[in-house]
Amino acid sequence: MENKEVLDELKTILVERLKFDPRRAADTGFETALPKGLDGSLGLDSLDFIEMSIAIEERFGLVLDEREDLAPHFESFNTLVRYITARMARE
Amino acid sequence: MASRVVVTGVGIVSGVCTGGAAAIGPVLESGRSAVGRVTAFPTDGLPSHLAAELPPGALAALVEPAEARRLSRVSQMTLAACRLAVDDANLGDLSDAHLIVGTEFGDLRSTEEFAAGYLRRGAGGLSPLAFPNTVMNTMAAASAIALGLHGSSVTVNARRVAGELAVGRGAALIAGGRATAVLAGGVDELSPLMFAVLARLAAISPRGGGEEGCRPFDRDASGPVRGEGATFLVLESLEAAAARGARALGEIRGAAWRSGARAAAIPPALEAAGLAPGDIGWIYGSAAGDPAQDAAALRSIRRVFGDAGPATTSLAPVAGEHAGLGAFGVAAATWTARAGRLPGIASLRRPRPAAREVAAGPGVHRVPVGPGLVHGVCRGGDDVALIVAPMGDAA
Amino acid sequence: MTRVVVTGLGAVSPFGAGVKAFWEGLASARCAIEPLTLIETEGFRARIAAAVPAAAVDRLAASRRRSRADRFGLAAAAEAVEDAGLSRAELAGTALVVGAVGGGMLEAEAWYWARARGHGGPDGGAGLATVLPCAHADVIGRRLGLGGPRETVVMACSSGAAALAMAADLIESGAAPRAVAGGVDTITRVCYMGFNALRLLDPEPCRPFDRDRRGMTIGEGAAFLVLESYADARARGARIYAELAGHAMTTDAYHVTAPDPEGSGMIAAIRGALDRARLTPAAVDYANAHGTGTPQNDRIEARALARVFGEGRLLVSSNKSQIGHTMAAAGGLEAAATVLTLTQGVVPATVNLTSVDPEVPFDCVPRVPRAAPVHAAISNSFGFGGQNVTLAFTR
Repeated sequence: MENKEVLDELKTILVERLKFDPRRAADTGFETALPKGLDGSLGLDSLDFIEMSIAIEERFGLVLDEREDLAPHFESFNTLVRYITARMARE
Repeated sequence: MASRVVVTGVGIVSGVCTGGAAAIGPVLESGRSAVGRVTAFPTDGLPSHLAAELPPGALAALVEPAEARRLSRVSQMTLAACRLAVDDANLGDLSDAHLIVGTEFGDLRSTEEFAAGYLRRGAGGLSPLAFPNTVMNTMAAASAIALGLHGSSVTVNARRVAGELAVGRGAALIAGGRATAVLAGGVDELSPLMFAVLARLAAISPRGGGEEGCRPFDRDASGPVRGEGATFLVLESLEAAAARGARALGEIRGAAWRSGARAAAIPPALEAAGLAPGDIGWIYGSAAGDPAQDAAALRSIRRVFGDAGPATTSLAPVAGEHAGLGAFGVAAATWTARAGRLPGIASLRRPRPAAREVAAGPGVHRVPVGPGLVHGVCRGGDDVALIVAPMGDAA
Repeated sequence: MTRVVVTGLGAVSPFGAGVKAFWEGLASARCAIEPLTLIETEGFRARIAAAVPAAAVDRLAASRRRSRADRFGLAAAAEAVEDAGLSRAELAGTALVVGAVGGGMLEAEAWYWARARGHGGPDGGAGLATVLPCAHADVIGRRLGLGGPRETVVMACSSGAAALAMAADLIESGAAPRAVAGGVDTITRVCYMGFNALRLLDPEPCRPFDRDRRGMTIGEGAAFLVLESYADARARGARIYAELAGHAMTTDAYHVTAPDPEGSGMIAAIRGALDRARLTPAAVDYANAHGTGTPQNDRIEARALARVFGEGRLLVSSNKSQIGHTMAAAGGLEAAATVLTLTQGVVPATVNLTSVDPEVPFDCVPRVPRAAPVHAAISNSFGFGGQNVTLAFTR
């Protein structure tokens, strides 16, 4: 899967699972920060990330091990897309 | 020594008006009703089509998108009404305040969405974000977070009288010296599944056929019509309100609730208020068009006031039956207690002969300025009585 | 000030029906957690729970047409009022406060699941009639002839404890001389799936306070206490188990699913209960912990206990290690357990505890119950989303 395709899938998750307004989701890009507390970020908290993890597992056919520290991968769409494509390449 | 309880703010989100205390008089004088054909979801094939919905877009105007994203619709209503009430009361710091939310159906909509996610897609369709909303205290929990409120936050569930119960509980907390500020009120929303089930179970008008409509005390009464919305009051101890120079809209002089076959809450409420039946000038009752419930309410009133009691009305035809209506009634009562005006029941065309004391509309009746009663009755459940008086009334 | 005492106990627990079975299970350090068969669990991370045994459910007196939750509630409430030896006249003036979350959701789910999978079933959804949490109070109130104030409180995992606190308020304010109060809950698909989705369940039986704990285990049941004013209990020669000497409720207002890491809401609830009970921390012998077994709760609760009581000395144990987290029933079952701890002089163990978490500076009574005189104890219920209740009991 191309990085752009993965990003588009994540934007769909933003709308369908995290209840973001479609225009807000469309406005995001690779550089968009995700976690609450970062300037200009989407403001996601721990519960949003659990929801996102389940959606990512379902959408991309992965299993995310919650004992692994996934926080660094959830910093931006950039880091998240790279993590997902790397995991998909491994499976 | 019991503390006196005053109402210092009102927040209303309903089909018929949205705002603070200032919104009450105009809407009751206008005789407007929010009951109309349901537009938010299809009702084809159902025996019922009427409800008192929030106007489309009403909530979007009250809740910011970033906040709205994480709040279910019924939680948005709750928070919006709480904020309106807090602004109306000009109350700054809520860290010691308590919150009491009365509701009949809670967030059933979210529960259904959560279950549907699983049924459609299995474990991958489960939504952790939606799960907290499947517990009925989600509105209270979410509002407490948004308001920074650290006292107790309680959700009271009851059929028909949850709003009255919440206000009664709030008044009792203050009277007993356990709190100085309480946000108390009720909230319910309409959802497609709930509406369909109530319609098919003939729990709403037009039960048994006949014309659909909300006609309490009418010979053609065919069941209640549901509404949705949230109404919250800021209740404070008289000392706390006076200390911060708050404007008091009225006083809750007594509150009581009882259950059982001969449930009678009015006498203990009068006793707590230090008043006699003859002091009560008017009544906001909870009659909503279910003949059995309406008759039970009248019986309870008659046991105390006899056959020629004070003018009695109901706001169900105005905003539909929902837990917010009980608190709306208390807000309306503070207006009536000051203004000496009581809205008649506009939908009443052919009053049952026994309903002598019912104030028919359209139009507003003159009643004595002074104390009155907000009365909620659920057959098989609680009888709730709240005595509301204007400020400056003799102690 | 009116003192509130406990004069009756009733329970349905994962150890079976009746207080005797409950206490015998606790005192023998049994763990009632087993593979769950009541609902489908395929694909879930955790597939175990502490269910009320089927044989015990079969023998419950209430009709099988009633919801599982109503049957639990009826059995526990009936046992409590019989234990208290209340007459019909006394029951007519007795309040009822029920803590509930799921209501009849198990049966409503069955209806909804069948409908979604095209198995039909009556479209009217009569199974939904008892879905609301307030249904238990109506059923119990009617069956036992209770006529005082009647309320249902929904406060997630603290519902049962909140019910006891609110009932105590009613007695202290003079609204009723006595009350039946407690909680009811059953395992439901929504609850089980939701906690699974939030990854808060341990695939193995929960291990509160253990260094290697991984999450909660869900349970179910019901428990009611008869609370009474001391004067009324003495006047009728009632047997008094213990005194409910103090209670407090606070809200974290931090996050919908995560507790405040500072534990300030928990600390305020504990201190509030002790203050009302006029107990110094040094006078308390035992804390019946919320102790769910999640990494977060146990750590924060231990820290809160240490802040109030200092490290060491206080005995702490979690009933949830034996009966799981019984949701709305937890506050009731664990209050009953605390009362029995006081009267029996035996502190139930925290079973499944092999290596105590170094961050928990207390004797958590690992694996083996402890004979110990307990004169004052607290019971904590720290609900999902930061709704905290602490009850203080003395002998």
